[in-house]
This record gives sequence, C-alpha cells and structure tokens, in this order.
Amino acid sequence: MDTPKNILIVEDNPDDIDLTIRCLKKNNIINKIDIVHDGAEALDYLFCQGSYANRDPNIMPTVILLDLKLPKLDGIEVLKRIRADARTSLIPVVILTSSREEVDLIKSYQSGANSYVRKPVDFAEFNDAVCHLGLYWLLLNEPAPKKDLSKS
Amino acid sequence: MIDKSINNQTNIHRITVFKLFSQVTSVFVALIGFFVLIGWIFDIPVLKCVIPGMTAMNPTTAVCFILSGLSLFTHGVSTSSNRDAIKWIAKTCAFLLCLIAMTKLISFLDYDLGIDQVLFRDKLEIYTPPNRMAPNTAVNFLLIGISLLILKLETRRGYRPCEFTALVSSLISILALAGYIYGVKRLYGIASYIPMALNTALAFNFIVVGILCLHPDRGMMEIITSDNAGGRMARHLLPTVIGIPIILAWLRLRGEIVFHYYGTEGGVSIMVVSTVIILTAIVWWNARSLNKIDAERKRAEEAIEKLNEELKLRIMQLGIVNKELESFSYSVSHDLRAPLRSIDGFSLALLEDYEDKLDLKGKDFLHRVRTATQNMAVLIDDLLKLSQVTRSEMRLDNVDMSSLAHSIAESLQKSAPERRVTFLIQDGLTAKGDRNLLEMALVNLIENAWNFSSGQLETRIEFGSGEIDGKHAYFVRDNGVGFDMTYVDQLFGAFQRLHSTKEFPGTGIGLATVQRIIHRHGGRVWAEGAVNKGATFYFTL
Repeated sequence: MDTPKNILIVEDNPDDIDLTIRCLKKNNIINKIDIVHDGAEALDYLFCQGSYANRDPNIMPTVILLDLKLPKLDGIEVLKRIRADARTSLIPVVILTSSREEVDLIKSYQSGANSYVRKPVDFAEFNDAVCHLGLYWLLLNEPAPKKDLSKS
Repeated sequence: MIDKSINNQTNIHRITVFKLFSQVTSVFVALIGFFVLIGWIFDIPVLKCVIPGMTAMNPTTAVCFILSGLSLFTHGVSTSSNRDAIKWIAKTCAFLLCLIAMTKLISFLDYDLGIDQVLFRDKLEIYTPPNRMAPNTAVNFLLIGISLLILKLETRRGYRPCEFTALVSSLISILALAGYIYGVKRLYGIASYIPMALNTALAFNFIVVGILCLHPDRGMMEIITSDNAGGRMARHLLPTVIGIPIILAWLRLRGEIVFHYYGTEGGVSIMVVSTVIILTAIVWWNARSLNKIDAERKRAEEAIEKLNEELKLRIMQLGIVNKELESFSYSVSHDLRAPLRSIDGFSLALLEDYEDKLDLKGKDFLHRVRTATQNMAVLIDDLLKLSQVTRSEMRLDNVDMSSLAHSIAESLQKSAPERRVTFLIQDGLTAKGDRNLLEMALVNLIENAWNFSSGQLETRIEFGSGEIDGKHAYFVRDNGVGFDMTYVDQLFGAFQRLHSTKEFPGTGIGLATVQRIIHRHGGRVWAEGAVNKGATFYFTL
C-alpha cells in the first residue's frame, strides 16, 4: 500500500501547467507530477502504450486532473475510455476546466467524473482550489485497493 | 349531422340581416291582420280580400295573424335583460293562437263554439256561404302556434322541431296559393267548406319565413346561411328553384286557357323545355361561381404551402445560427478566460517571487494588471449569462416571487450587516415562468436597488405588485440615487451605465439581462425615477 502517490495532469495550455505546478509546489505538495498534453497522450500514458510503452503498468496515478478542451481526444472521451477499462476504471478523475456550461457539467458527471472544478481567473482563488484538490485527493481521500483492480 | 361551421365576419353580418328580416316579416304579418280588421270596420273590400269578389279573410283569422306577428316579434327582441316580461308576451300570444285554432277545429266535429263569429257577426252573414275561418287555416294556426311555443327547442343532433311544423304549415298555404295562381279551387278549399283566403295564404308564408329566419345560425337554416360552398349554392339556387316553376306554370296556363295559343300537349312541352333551359342556365352559372371559389381556395392553399416552405427554411437557418452562437459562446467561456488566468497568475508570481526587485510603482502596475484582468473575467461571465438567458430552454413553473425576494434580501443583508435597510416585500406574489430566469431577473433588480441606495442612511427597498394599464405588474422600488428620466432609454442597453464604476460597481449588463428575461416571458419592463428620488422598476409577465 505504500506505492508513491502521484498526480497525472492532462492539460494542453503550458501556462496552466506551470501555474498548476507552481500552486502545488507552493502548498508543499511534493508528490510526483506527470504531465500529458492531449487526450491521446493521456491514454498512451495510462495504458502504457505508444511512447509510454516502457512505463510500469503497476504504477497508476492517485488522481487525474483532466481538462475538457484538449487536442485530438477531448476530455469527455478520455474520461469514458478511463472508465471503460478495468485497469483505470476506479481512478478518481477531477475535471479541471474553464467551462461552466451546464452541458459540460452534466456530461462529465454522466461519464463518471468524481469532481468538477472550474478554474477561477483570479490566481489567488486558483491557488486555493488547487491546494484543496491536492490535499483532498492525495491525503484525505482513500483510493480503491489495488488488488481488486487487477482482479476485476 | 349539421355542420357547425366557423362563423366569420360576413357570416355574422348575414345572420344579423336574416334576424332583421324576421323582425320585418313579423311586423308585416301583424299589419296584414290589422288592415284586414280596418277593412271589416269600414267595409273596404281591397283590405279584406285583396281582389274584390274573392274570399275575404275572417276577422278572427286577422286577429290570429296579429297574435302570431306579435309573438314572433317579441321572440326576436327578447334579450337577457328584458327576458321575463317579453317571454311571457311571446308565450301567451302563441298559446292563445293554439287555443283559437283548437276551438275552431273542434267546431268541424259538429261542436261549433262560434269562435270565428265573435267579431263583425252581422257582416259575416252577408256572404254566401257565410265568412268563416277555413279548416286548413285553423290547422295552419295550430302548427304556427306550436312552432312559436317550441321555438327554442333543439334536439341533441341540432334539429329544431319548430322548423318542421312551420314548413308543414307553409306547404298547406303554398298549396292554397298554387290553387289561386292556377285557378284550382280544390287546392285552397276543402270539400264544401269555405276556402282559405288569398291574403291568408300569403300571410302564412310570411310568418313561416319569419320563424325560419329568427335563428338563422341554428337547425336547418344554418346550412343555408353558412359561408361555405354549400350555403352559397343554397342561397343562389333556392329562390330560382322555387320561383321559376311557379311563374312558368302560370304563364303556360294563361297561354293555354286564357289565350288558347296552344293545347295541353303544347303547354307541357313548352313548359318542360323552358324549365330545362332556365334551370340548366342557373346550374351552369352556379357551377361557375363554385369553380371560382374552388380556384381561389387552391391558390390560397398554394400560397400557404409556399409560406410554410419558407418558414421551414428560416427555422433551419435559425437552428444553424443558434448552433454557431452556442459554439461561439462556448469558446468565449473557455478560451477567453484561459489567457486571463495566465496574465493574473504570472502577475502574482512576479509580485511574489520578485518582490525585492520591484519598487512600489512596479508593484502598483502589476496590481492594476490584476484588477483589469479580474474586471474582464467578470465581464465575460456577465456576457455569458446574458447570452444564456436567450439560449437556455424555458421551463414554465409556478414561481413564488415573494419567497425569492425574501431570500435575495436575506443574502444581501448578510453580505453587509452594517447597512440599515428596510425590505418591504408583499406576501403571496406568484408568477408563471422559468424559475432560474425569474430569479436571475429579481436578483439583478434587487441588487441594483441595493447598490444604488448605498449612499442613503436609511435604505428602503420595496417589492410588490399592482394593476398598471389593466395589466398585473410587479415592481422593485428603492429610495436611492435614482436617475434622470432623459436617459431612461439607455437603462436597458448592454454595457450602458448612467453612473461611473467608481460611484457604483457593475458591468452594465444587469438590466439588459433583466430585459431579455422579461421579453422571453412575453412581458414588458420599464423604469421610473428622478435624480436623488429613488427608482422604480416595473415588469409584467
């Protein structure tokens, strides 16, 4: 159970990536952060294929921060694939996006998102949000046991 | 079975004309009776029997016509306000009519009560045979009396029995008339009894027409007065179908019997040929006019079809535009905000990480950059809200406006507990509309009232309703800074502000949003106010 708790960020905007990492670092969240830049890359990473063929498939992120508007495959599609595969179906996925459109909210929850956070423009608020997310999903939240994952 | 056609303007006009005609005939029939009585008083043969030497109308018959005319007339003028007294007259007259007719009919069973000898007894006996009411006349009066009594009766299928009784009496009097026209005594006189007088037969036909025309929009008459093709055809054909054979037969008989131009065979063939020619011509003329109506209808149908096609195209185009608008505002929501976050984030990063390298001026600049980005973020949000008002689907509901206002007031009061504000909210106000949208509108209006009265020591904000120009209107009133009525038109435009952002914060989209919401509900929103005298915003739904 003492596998390292790491975060996967799926985000195409380099500014947002830098700012998110900055927030996490500033709030003393020192867990490993992996970054992928589009939907296809996210799936490659999770299922250890393509350029991630050499990744250890036993190590899965503790939480996935997923943007909705992504190049190639969009966030909802990525989320659906994650939920459809036994290897990843129980990983918590947090939607972190600029959109507050009703359709996006509904689609996200329908596709199995665990949480939906809208990125605030005010950086101070953004900082708070990322801090809360990190604390909650990495420390407070109890993830699903690994053994069950491989069985099911 | 009787088609309840939709009454349009011309049909309503036609029905009024028919009703008026019924009134005129009722007066006319009463006048016939009246003049016959005058004729008996002063011994004027023309008044008594039209053509001197012919059978005169019995004075009791004349009284009966006055009664039937009066009954029909009162039926026609009865309205809901004068109903009782008028109805009584109408029924009593009809009842008397039946009574007289029955009494007379009994006399034919050798039980003569002499009802038709009450008036001008001496003068009646001068004639040979003495003047009496004819048996067919008595039957007719009974039928007319019954018709007048059951005038309002209507079966479930829309038939009116009074029309049938009236038509039977009309048949009897038409037979009598035909007898006079063609000189066949057997048709107007029964056995050795005195015949029906000519003016009596005519008056019967008038009263029947009057009865039929009293309710032209019901029963059999509805078919004839209808505005549809059938009604038109009936109105075109009926007068000729009735009139032409009568006139032709009369002409034929005159040619045959009086002038001896031709014999019976010649008369029949001339009459048949002329009837065929005239009726064919009328049928042709009628067919032409029906064809014309049909063609017009087809043209109208084609025009509607064309309009429908255009409408469908428009709806399709609108759908596309709507889709584009949706994806546009989606991009605005997503993409316009991302750079703002970068600007704000890195400005803050600069302030935090390079604090020692920046002087006060540099820090101030960065603060201004941050304030501007945040303003823009609010602006984007408000714009999106405004577009959402038009895009979102309406879900109609009964909304408790009073409790909405209460909760808005509560949260405002919580946001600034130090302010002294009195909220006067009328209880029990409800509205039919989209809950979310109405809440958005009310929040905007009450927040406005709250913001623009922030300078007052004692703020008073009212939410209530009233009758304005005959419509139920809601209002939000404050005692704040108000506005100059000269600029009232600018109030509801997006980004229009009557005060600087320094005085009162805001993007200038609130009232534009309110207006869109109210317009989507089919209502109207307007404002009244004066500088430093507060403002009132009214809206209807």
